[in-house]
Amino acid sequence: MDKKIIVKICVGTYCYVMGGYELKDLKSKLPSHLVDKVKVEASVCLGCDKSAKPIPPYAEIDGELMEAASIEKITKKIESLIR
Amino acid sequence: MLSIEKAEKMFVEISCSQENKHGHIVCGDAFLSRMIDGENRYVAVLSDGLGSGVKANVLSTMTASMALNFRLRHEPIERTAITIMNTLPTDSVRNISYSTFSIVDIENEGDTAVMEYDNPDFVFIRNNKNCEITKEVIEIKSPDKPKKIRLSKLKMFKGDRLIIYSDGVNQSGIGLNQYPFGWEREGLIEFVEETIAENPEISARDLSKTIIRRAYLNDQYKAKDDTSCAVIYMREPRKLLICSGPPYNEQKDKYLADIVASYPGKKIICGGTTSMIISRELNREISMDIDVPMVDLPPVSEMEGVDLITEGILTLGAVAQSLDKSIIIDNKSKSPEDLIIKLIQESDVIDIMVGTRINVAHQDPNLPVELEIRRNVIKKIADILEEKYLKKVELKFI
Repeated sequence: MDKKIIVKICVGTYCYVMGGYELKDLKSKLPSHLVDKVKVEASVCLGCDKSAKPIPPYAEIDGELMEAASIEKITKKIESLIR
Repeated sequence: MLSIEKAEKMFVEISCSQENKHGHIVCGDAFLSRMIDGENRYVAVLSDGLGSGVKANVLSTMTASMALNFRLRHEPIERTAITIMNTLPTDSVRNISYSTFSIVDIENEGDTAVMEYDNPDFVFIRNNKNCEITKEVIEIKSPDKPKKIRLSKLKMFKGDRLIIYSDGVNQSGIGLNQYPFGWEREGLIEFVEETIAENPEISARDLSKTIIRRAYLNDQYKAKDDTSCAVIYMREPRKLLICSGPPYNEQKDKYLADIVASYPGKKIICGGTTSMIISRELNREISMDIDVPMVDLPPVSEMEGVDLITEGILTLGAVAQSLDKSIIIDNKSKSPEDLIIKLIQESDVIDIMVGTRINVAHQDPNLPVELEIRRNVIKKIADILEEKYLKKVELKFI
């Protein structure tokens, strides 16, 4: 698989305060077999204000928005995408 | 004349640098300046007290504050001088009461009056060259010998600089082979002309610092007297725009983006949603480097034509705190709040556009209480900048 999976992490105020702060370390916490397959980016806002009841922090994996993101959840998602 | 255009035209930058006489912890010279907003008026006073140290500091501070307050009330110069001389305490050793002063009073976009008593003659720079101004001498009767006050009137235009200084400057280096009589006014003028030729836009702050540093060097890093130099520079204001918060009405998004695009100066956007709006309206991408170490605040990002993009309310809160505590920032610091403060310090006029739409997401009761309301934080920053840093701040709510 050549194309990398793009993971965007929201560092807007709301997400940052509600857990996005830990997500920034995602790259170093990924299992070693995934590291080369993922590109981690930051985003100023992924659009939590559009939702009526947002559950932060947000992440976007290959274009798909994830609520209440955590390093575990993102890792699982990436695994399922690779398979 | 259009009043808005007039207000935009000129900015009066006033800045003073000082060096204490070697071995003293306070400066015997005092410098005070005030900007009177309603009158469009600036008054600056430099005073040199008799002797050095605390006693001189008391004399010069009293003189400077009296002179400043008399000028603000448009009292005639004779009365100002007589009152100062009668009020100063008498030195127990020398049995005289004495301090010098230079008062600069600028009104109506450049009408300037300079009153000097026993301080060295001011230096006036126009078109990057020294100009001598004719002076009128007023004699004031006093019990011992008549005191002479030199009065000059001139009109200052954009680009002009006026330099007042204490005798520590022109007498620096005295006794050395190179300067048997000190640096002298001629040496200072030559130095100022050279400095301006190298850097025509040098700010008042940097020029006064450069002059004091040179005088200090002349004295071989042991100042022989209290040394002060104040520079008044009439110049185009350096402008800074800070945008934070989405507009209340979405139809204003375009308006906000147009202001950012066309603003003549430096630009900062504080806030994720705000920068997304501007990115969308101007069709310019935002890029962010996540690999830079994040300390306490979300990282900065970049957009073509914008000098700085940061997160909103957390960063602004940190800026307000730093400004309030007068924390001196490290020039090399890359933290978002320091980057904002650096841009603020390098500007004279700061326009702040505050978007007032409530971010629904921020109403979550789980959020820490430190997340203040945007309007309050920005109002606080604006107040501090005006009172403490003499910046002209314009707040606009959309």
